[in-house]
Amino acid sequence: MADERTQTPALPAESPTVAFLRQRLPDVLLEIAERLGETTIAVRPRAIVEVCQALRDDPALQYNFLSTITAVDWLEREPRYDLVYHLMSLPSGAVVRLKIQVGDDEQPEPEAPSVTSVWPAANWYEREVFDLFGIRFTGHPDLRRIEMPDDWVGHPLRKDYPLTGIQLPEPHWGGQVPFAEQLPAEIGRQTLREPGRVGDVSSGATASPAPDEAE
Amino acid sequence: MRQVEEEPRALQLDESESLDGGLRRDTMTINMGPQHPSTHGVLRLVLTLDGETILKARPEIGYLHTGIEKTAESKSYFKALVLTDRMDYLAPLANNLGYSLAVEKLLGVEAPPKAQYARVVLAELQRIASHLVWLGSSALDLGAQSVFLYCFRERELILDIFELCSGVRMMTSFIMPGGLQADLPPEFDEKVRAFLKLFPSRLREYHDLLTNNRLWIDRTKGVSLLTAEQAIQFGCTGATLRGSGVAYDVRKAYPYSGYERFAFEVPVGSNGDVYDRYLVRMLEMDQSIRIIQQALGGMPEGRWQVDDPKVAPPQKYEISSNMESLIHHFKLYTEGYRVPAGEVYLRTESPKGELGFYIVSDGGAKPYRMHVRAPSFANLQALPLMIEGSLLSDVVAAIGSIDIVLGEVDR
Repeated sequence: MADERTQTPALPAESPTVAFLRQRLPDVLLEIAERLGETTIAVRPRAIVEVCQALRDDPALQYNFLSTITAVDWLEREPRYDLVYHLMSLPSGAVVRLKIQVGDDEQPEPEAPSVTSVWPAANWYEREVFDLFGIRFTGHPDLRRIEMPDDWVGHPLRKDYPLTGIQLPEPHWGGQVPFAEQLPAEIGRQTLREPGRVGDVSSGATASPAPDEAE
Repeated sequence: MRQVEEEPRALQLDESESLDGGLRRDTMTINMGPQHPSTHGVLRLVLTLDGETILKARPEIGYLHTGIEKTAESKSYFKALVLTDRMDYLAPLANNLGYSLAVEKLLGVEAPPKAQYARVVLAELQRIASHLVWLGSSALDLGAQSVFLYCFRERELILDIFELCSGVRMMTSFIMPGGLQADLPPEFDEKVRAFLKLFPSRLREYHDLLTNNRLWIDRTKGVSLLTAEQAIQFGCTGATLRGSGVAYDVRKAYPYSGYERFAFEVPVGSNGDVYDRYLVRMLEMDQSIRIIQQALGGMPEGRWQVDDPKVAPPQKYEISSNMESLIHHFKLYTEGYRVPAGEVYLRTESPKGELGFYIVSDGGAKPYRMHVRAPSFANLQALPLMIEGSLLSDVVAAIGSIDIVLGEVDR
């Protein structure tokens, strides 16, 4: 680790990162913001892989560490989502935040290129964003839900997803019950507080405690 | 009573049959977890086995998904603090610290010196407590049962200190945006010093039990290897990264809460195996003791919260005697404070690695978006690299060595 690494996660106004991108990929830069000592660089969505690759491979910058990828849903805005990448360079200690905007109204599903080819660490972060925001990553090797059950409907971290959740056919337990199948009415009322009902496989449903609807 | 089985007959092989022709070479897929004592929570591993060799490992997570990031969007900054305790439930104060620093940065306030020193003491005590749970449980997984009991004995002393400060043993929420929830109790200094006096000798006992123990070395040396390059590519941090030889510690790289004032070293391994990660954490506890000693010695006098009634709630006696305090109290606990619009990503070194809080504010009293970069999440992602090609029995050692907490992985 180099001794001259910066003591704060701040970059000077015209940091080497910004200068490098201005010189190397001037067409893709949309906005450069400095706030609270943190640099945010907004780039064109299609160029994100190219930008990441360049930042990682440049011998002077070496952004070899991906801290995290996440998204922010700005419900009213178009494009609706921000994808936020936090990069760090272990050799120099520099940090930068990249941002792209995705989610046009024309597209049925918001889409962004995957950066798994640049950092393998992106794999799970992109799966998480796909799961919770419904943003599809093209070129991702294994794009499946990661936190929610595989047959879940909706993407919980979207701003239009209600905090109380949505009504689903119950019991809903990771694919044991076909999602579309309407279950007998009494199954939905199964709770842990009704001993004898739970585990009653003869009623045709697998035993699993459903949220208490009586409450 | 079971009948004593006859001595198993030696495997009879037809001379003409080759081994491959005579024995089935099928692979088998098994589930390890989600209910398995060695997965440290509810982790499910789908393992494809050839005999006892792991061909493919696939971690499945989400069994402890509690929607903390979503819930935080509907709580005021003041109230979202308690959610952070419940992520890495073995190190709640480390989570509180990361969250508080991020909110303070957005607010543009800085905790007073006494709070900063106290935060360092508490965070380092929490690191020791978390490492003790890791040491005890991962040693237990590998059959060293007594270490587990000793570790919990010492952890109890730390939890007693937390209880003394906050009244709560685990989910303390003691560190809050603006400082601490309350002043440190008068006995704090004495209690922590008593612990510091006792603990080094106990730490030596753990070393005696494990570090040169032939059985421990056999189970951990050269097991679940992770090269430095792989660890960086997969975003590993904490002891998982340092065990592979990369000296990245947020406390040194991006000092926060006054860590730059204290002298301490960052232990680094070289082989990237279970044993090196073990040693790194053991040595980290030594360094934590050093930091606590310096912070206790230099603990300044003064307030434990910022002197800003818009952020820090007033004292109980003020509420009954002062109209403004009553109003501030009411506003804080109903509406909370408004945070200037902006975004911040703040990294801290939690016992598990780089804990990052990305908070986006739209100028309101609730976080517009709170994302947590959980160190366990990234470390777990690298698990297949460590265990594919090794034996089934080493999986337990590998999971123990990356020290995951599923509450933090799933959030």
